[in-house]
Amino acid sequence: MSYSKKTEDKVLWQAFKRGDETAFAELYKRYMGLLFSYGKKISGDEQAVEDGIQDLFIDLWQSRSRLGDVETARFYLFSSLRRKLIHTLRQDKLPADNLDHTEEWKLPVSPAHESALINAEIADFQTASLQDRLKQLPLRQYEVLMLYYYHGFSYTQISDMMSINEQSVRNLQHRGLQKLRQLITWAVVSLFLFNFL
Amino acid sequence: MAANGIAEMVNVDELLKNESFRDWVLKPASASDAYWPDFMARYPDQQPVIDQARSILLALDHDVRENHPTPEQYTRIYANIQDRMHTAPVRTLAIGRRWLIAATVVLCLGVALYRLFSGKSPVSPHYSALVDRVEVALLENVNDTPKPLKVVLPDKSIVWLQPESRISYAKNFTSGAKREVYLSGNAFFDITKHPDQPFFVYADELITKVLGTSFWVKTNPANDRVVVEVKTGKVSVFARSDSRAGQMQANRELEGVVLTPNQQLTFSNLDVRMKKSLVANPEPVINQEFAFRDERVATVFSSLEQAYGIDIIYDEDLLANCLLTATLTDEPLYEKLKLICKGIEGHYEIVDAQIVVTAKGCQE
Repeated sequence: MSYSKKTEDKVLWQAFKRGDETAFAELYKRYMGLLFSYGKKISGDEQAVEDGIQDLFIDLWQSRSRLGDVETARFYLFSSLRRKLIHTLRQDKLPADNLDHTEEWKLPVSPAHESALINAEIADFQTASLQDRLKQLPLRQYEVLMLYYYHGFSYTQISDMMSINEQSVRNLQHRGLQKLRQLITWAVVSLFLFNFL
Repeated sequence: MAANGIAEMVNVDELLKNESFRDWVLKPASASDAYWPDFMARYPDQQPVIDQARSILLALDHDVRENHPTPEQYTRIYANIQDRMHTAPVRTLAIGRRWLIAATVVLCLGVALYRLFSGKSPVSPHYSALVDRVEVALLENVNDTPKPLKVVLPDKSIVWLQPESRISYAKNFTSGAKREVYLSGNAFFDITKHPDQPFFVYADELITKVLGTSFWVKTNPANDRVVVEVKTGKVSVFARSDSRAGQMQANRELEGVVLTPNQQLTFSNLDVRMKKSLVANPEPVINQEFAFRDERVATVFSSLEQAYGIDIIYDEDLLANCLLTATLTDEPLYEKLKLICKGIEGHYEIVDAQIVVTAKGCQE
């Protein structure tokens, strides 16, 4: 049986559980890129992400007969990868504790860059790309925004994935969005022109 | 989205959550209708909000794409996955970059064996006891053939399982956890390097710990001893009965008795004693020709030390004036030493894991 981009995840998942390799390959194709990208944000160590994704899919295949009908394949894949990576981070004694317990752990930003942002010079905002601004967000705010808006997970799912309560997810999302809006306000006009004209 | 809800939809959050909006921004090609352009035309005052939401989505999208895997990573990872989909892990090796760094160690363990089944692979009672205690599901490979059997472990480490031998290991070496195998009989290990995931061989009363390396494990039913031989790299060995065994296993460093190239360790089951010495025929770690012309003996010794990874002990002051001319190539190390000693009218002996050279010294 062959599957197209349109085939629902649920269908793929059930076929894969029956041992259908084509369905398994399609799941990989569909999620590998997104998982990799997400993993790189969580871990920063590309090799760890490669290993994590590899293990994830191997585990998936080997335990397929024991797997239930998951709510969404997407959720299962993302949360499993996150668990694996956090576990590896812990082992490596990287700042995983920060990642999990501190609200505002930031992606590394040079002090100069940071103070420039605080000074909020208009010129600075206009030249920096929006992507750069995204990177100014604390990692956990960023993660919640990404999971919530881009990948379309619910608060409940995100709270499950990140092992924090739903209110914390809402707070992170709210603060993240606030901050992002502040950051982009300056650039909106030029970006709009760029995109529409 | 209900048409009458449109007017109230003023906030970025709601826009971002709206699937049709997301599709419109992120998959413009497949966006079927002109809903959002219409919307903007009808509610121009909503424009700033739409722009904000749009730029946030685009930025997120850009960030995701920026971190996508390369096509090469995409293919390689799937190949690795496929490799493991159909096997109990006896398969050809697909080596990742990280694993190419593996050092080489030869480690021979001679372990007392008790033949429980004649004609079949004998199983050490230690082995059975160890395996019984393991909580995770284990895979077992048994070699009943007269030839070595290649076994690929879940981490792509290779084991050449010798005849009349068996090995057990977890189906998966979960990342972060220890890699542990249980051996009865003989095997050559080529262990992939994972500094964070030490590799343990449990054989008889000995635990051998390596961080990434290759080595032999041999068990000899005829004697009651364990012998560990290292070719290159480093391993640490400790007795299971050692009160600090748990701690030494957990530690990142190699503790216990650390063996370096060409050293061997003999463990006697009877008096629970470990004796470190040199292997019967040390192999050079670095292959090189030794050509010396009126060279100071100290220099000669130090190049041998480097080539074989062995310490040579001698009285530097006494031998300071000794010069040597020799070309040494294929002779075994002990033969080389014999020649050198002949030149300086001395002799050598092996004490512990070192070579001690004694000579009278040379006149000016």
